[in-house]
Amino acid sequence: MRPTWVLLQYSLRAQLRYGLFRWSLAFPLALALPALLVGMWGEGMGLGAEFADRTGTSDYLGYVLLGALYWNFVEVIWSIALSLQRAMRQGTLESLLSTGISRTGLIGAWSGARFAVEVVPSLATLGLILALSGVPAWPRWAGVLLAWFLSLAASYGFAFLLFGLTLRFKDANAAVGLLGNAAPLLGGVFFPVALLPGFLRPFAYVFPFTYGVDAVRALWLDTPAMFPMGVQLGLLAALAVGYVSLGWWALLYFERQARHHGVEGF
Amino acid sequence: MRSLLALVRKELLDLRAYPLDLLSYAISPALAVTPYLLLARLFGFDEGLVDSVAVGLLLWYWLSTLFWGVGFGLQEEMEEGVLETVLVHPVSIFTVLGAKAVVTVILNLYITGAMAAWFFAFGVPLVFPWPAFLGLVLLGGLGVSGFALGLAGLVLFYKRVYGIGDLFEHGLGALSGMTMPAAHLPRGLWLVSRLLPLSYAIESVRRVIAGDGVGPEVGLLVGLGLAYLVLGHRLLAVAERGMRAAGTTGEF
Repeated sequence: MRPTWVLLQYSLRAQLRYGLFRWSLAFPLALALPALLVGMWGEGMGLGAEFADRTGTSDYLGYVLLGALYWNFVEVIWSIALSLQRAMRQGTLESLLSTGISRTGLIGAWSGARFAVEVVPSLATLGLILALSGVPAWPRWAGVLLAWFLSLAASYGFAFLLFGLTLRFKDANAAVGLLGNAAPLLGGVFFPVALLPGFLRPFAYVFPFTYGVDAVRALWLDTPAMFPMGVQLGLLAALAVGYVSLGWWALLYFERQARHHGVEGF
Repeated sequence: MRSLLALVRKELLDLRAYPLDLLSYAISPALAVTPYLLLARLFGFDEGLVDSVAVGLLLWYWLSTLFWGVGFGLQEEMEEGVLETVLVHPVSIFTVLGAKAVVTVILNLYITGAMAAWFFAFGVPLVFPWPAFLGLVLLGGLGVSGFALGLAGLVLFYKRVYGIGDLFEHGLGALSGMTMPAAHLPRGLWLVSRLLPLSYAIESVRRVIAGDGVGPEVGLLVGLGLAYLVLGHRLLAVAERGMRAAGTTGEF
């Protein structure tokens, strides 16, 4: 436990020590900005009613910001693949592996540090949502927190896979970029997935975040959910367990392969 | 010139070494921006308006790729600890970044083609004069090069500037009208948008796809682009001197 804690502290300090770090406060808002502008333009042209008709809410600002906030917290865990790649580039991975830290310790420390860094900017966006869209009643809060928790668990499944792929193929940027960019589309972060073309919808339905973001919006903004809420959260939980198991298996498989080929180096 | 070509070759060899990157470039940029197109559909935008959003996003992606490819181009060398080796060679940092810019432009053309194909699959066929469009996006690339050089200067001096990179990437895009024409911005922000070459690139392209031909914005795009290129080069030189004086060539 102690090596993990020390690595977490080190990773956190390494991220905080650079002078321009504070600018990352803007990130969740930056992700939402292009979507907010589309919304402003649409509303300016008097198309707000069309949006309300299709989503079940006229609050497009809350709809978009909630999607961006949800996504920011879910995706942040995937940065462990980039931390791993950085350790490979800096030539410190072998040293880390020869210490007493376990692979779960590595993953926990890197994702924990990144998670801690994202809390403050996410709180700023959360404040904006609370100001614009109000506070949902307490039982709904519990549902929102549960959906977020299950989504984070599912996100670790993908993170394990990315970690294993990076160990084996070294190139984390491509894998994280591919998954990170496809996920908001497949998950319908800014729109209901019914709008996706038919060939992508099956992927959306096996993607846990589709159910997560839809549940968060339904509970917070009272938009219609894809399924009754209990069923939807159950589906999310089942997918989370499935992806974590598959991700862990993939990590072990690729780690074995990586050790066979030589872990470090490009 | 020989050193530039050698560096371009090295960057291309890097790409060949990681073919997964090429696959990612063919898929992920389009998927990253498509949610904004679908949101426009959610508002019931007609075909012309969706096209307008699509070309804004295409041009913004040029800015984005140049930012990350050139602006953060030296980050990898810093992480690997080889920036000092690069600095002791008789090749200027400007040349090193120039090679990265050449490869980024080639990549951008590849990405633009892939994005257009994906947009087609999403029911946004982008039927417009492609030669004029490509000419304008290349000029748009020139327009944002100065910003990428300035960002490279910040990277040299401050080492990790991902947050400011994100902020500039999205902020400049928003001000330039990537998903909403700058004319709809509040007056103060619209005035700022008049100082950004990307605004004129996006407006020129929207003019062309509306069938109005190339307008006078192109002159402003080129003029402002060159002015920012000079400024960016200057900032880079100042940052390089600062980095050398501080004695910190890598991350620390």
